[in-house]
Amino acid sequence: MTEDRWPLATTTLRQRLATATADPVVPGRIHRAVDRFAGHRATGLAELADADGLRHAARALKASILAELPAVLDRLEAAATAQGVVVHRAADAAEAQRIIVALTDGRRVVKSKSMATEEIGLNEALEASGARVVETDLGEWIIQLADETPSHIIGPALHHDRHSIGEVFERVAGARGVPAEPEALNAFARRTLRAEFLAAEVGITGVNFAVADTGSLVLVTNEGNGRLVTSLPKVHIAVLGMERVVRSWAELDLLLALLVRSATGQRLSSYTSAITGPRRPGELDGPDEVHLVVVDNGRSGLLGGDYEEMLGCLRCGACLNACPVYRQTGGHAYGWVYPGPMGSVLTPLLAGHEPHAAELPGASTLCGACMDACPVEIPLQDLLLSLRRERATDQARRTERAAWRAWSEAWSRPATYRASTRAATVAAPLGGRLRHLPGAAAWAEGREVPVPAARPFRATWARRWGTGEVAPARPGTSAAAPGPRPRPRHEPDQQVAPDQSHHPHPRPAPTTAVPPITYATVDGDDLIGSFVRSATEAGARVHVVDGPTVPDDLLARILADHRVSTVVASVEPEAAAVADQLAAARPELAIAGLASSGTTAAAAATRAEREAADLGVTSAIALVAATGSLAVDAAVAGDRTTSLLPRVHLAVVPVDRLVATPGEVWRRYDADPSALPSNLVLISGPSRTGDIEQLLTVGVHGPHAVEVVVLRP
Amino acid sequence: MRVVLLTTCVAEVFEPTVAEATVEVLTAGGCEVACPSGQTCCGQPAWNSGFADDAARVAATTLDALVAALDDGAEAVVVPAGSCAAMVRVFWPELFATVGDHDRAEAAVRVAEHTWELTELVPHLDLPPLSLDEPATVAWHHSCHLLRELGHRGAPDVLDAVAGCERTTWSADERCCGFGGLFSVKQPEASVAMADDKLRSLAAASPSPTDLVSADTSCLLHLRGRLATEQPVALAGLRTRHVAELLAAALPETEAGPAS
Repeated sequence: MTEDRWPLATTTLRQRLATATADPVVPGRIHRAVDRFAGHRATGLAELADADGLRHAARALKASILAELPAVLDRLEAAATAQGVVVHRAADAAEAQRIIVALTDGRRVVKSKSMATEEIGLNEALEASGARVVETDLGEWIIQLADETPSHIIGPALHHDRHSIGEVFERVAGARGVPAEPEALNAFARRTLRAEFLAAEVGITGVNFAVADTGSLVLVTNEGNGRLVTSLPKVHIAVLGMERVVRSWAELDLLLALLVRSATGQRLSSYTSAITGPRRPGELDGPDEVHLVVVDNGRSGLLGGDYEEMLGCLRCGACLNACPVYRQTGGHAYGWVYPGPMGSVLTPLLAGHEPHAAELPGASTLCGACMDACPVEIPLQDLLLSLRRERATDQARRTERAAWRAWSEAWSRPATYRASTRAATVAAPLGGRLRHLPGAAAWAEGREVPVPAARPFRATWARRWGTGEVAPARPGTSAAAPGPRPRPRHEPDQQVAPDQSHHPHPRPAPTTAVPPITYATVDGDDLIGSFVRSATEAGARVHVVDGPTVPDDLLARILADHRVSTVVASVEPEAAAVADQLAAARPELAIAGLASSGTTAAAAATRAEREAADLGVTSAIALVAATGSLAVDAAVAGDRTTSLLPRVHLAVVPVDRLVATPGEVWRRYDADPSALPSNLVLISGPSRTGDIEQLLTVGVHGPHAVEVVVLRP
Repeated sequence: MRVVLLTTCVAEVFEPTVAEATVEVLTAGGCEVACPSGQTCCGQPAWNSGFADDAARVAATTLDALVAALDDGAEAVVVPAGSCAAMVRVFWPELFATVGDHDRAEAAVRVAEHTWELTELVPHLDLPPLSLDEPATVAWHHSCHLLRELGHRGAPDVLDAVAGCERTTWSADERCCGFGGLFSVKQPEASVAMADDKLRSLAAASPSPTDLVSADTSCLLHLRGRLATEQPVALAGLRTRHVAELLAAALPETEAGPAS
């Protein structure tokens, strides 16, 4: 751990919590951010039928994956290698750094957001080796410029507001005269980082999910930087926490739906990318090399133990947004990479050698809100309590241990218990031994100290109800005993694993069953209407037209609306047809990259042409009604960036490619893995970010507008 | 029916009127109430701090007293605190299993299945008409263990049967107050910040509350303590009461008996 970057090594939990709660502006920004995230999560999950049932199924599914994790990783390695990925296993952070520094070889790096790379201290190691590293996720770029650490898993810069961001851009990134408003700040980031994407030789990302059956890497992003980082540079290095794997595309479907809705409430993020190997022969873009670095760094030690369930974490941030302590402090108070409830468990497990890591489970009132929010039902409270028990035997806590011993000696006997609860003597046997605890002094700093009762309850009881041990019922009443009832979460219909009968939040038996997902956004009788609604809500414009081609007047309108003067098209027939149409009708337009029609240049557009174009035209291999998405297949389209580099993306798609759910797309690849291209992306609306005050701005690194024309022949 | 009362150590040390009011409500509602002198504490403070052996030593005493009462004809254990009720109903089996006391772990399951937090049991009582002499506008604080561990969202519904009692809504009603047992003194700055967050939300409640009511005395002591030091103007004169005290105050004079 680099001590100067993370305060965990040199500050106590109390110091950090006290500093954070006393900050005059940051808690207010945190309140606003977590309220927004929590609201979005509620809305997003409400669209899934029986979301709690899905979370429960996800917990059972994760149990079965973790039960055979080493074998799953071997399958992943074999499948990825067969696809041309070079797989590296890193036992710890130091080894991961060595591998990646060697692969990078001092070249220019652009990075997409990855908590795993923060955990292994990658940026410092790369910079020390002479490589230039630029974070491209807007929130990560802001904190990189400001030399800060992330405050939240999803929104690293949410401790900032627009003014502090503007100040950072001016002070460090050379911004001049950029108004401190989200749109302008966003545009500055787009301009400045675009040059970095184009010049970089190495792209480094994390991995949200690796699919073992096909060796594929799934990235969930919104801004477009993830796509650029994995398409433009010659080398892509993906850093995978070893537990972030699923076996099949069906399993991916469930966990992806829960991740995105729990994190931001979106139906899908703007870009869900599935990467299977490097660029294939004949492909116009994509990396020549893909490396997968599988990082252990303490994870394998958790398998089969009391803390295994922590490896189920999807890094969604929902527990942060629910936590009443995080709400008052933000992420920096937790001292290391992972904040909030999940950080309070993970930090002692992965960074337990740090002297102050053991304190982190104390950053909780055990209110349980985190468990209610977790998409995979991790029993965070039980894990926190177990960690507290482990620390109870520490040498450093021997005074407290003695105090609890004195307490339990006194309070396990009714006579001494009663003696100690009497007003005058309440402090005596406890107060002396508890001197080491802040106790009354700590309470009294902000609160009036409650006064122990003068008259004991026993005395009142004796006076009112006699010296017997039973108070009589009011005459003439009849209250029937309600009868015993099962404990919460131990209902008869709950399938609980065999050794879990005493557990507060019992783990279900492991299963490979993936339940179907039912979406409120899908009207089975009107899929087209469902798609139009959800795509529009995702920020796209949708036009449903009868006939096999896009009407001339619609094309003209789209071009005029977006002030288009240059166009590129993919090689798909529907896209080529649009290019032909435009070439004929609008000779003044610069149009590049057509193959089939022969009326214009046959060569595909160069990257420079795609970068310079106002409008990129593609088709899609599927439209998804539930989420308003279109699936762009790099092999079918001929490239990845026609739908990414231009300002506007026009997709022309026949209606017979419309399906109801994302699962219908993903499960094709369980049935026919060979159909997977090197790059498949589900596009759900324009590029977007909420990194500045959680206010939505579109068109960060990808298109700011998406037009979809659905052809009904 | 006969019930056995777990008085709770917080009530015995700081607020015995809560235990007294609970007995008033239970007897008025048709229960014979046993209150064995063998009980002490449920052990939660030590359990939450990670000292399982000490927690089990104390909890065993209370468990044994409750088992004896159930053997003696009590049909339900009643607890006027969500956190203690959750400790018994949700965590006791794990506590005893953790320290290797498997006989008590089994006994704990039996006790857990017979345990009711007070507001969970109120709908099963045969209470007389309830009416407050002094009308109250109540802001209900959902204590964490009752809401999330015991899954009991309907606790404040017991107020609907009380004439003269209306409820107000406030945005932070389900958020942790920041007490958290020893958290309140180990991390006092964060604890107070969390109380202030709740009280800010409470101050914005409309209609304005006359009472802050909860099923947990410990939360009330923490919030009351903060109000006494740093009170938002909008909450001047706010009274904090345990739900048992409010219900007891709503009982007809003859049932409740003279106040002590």
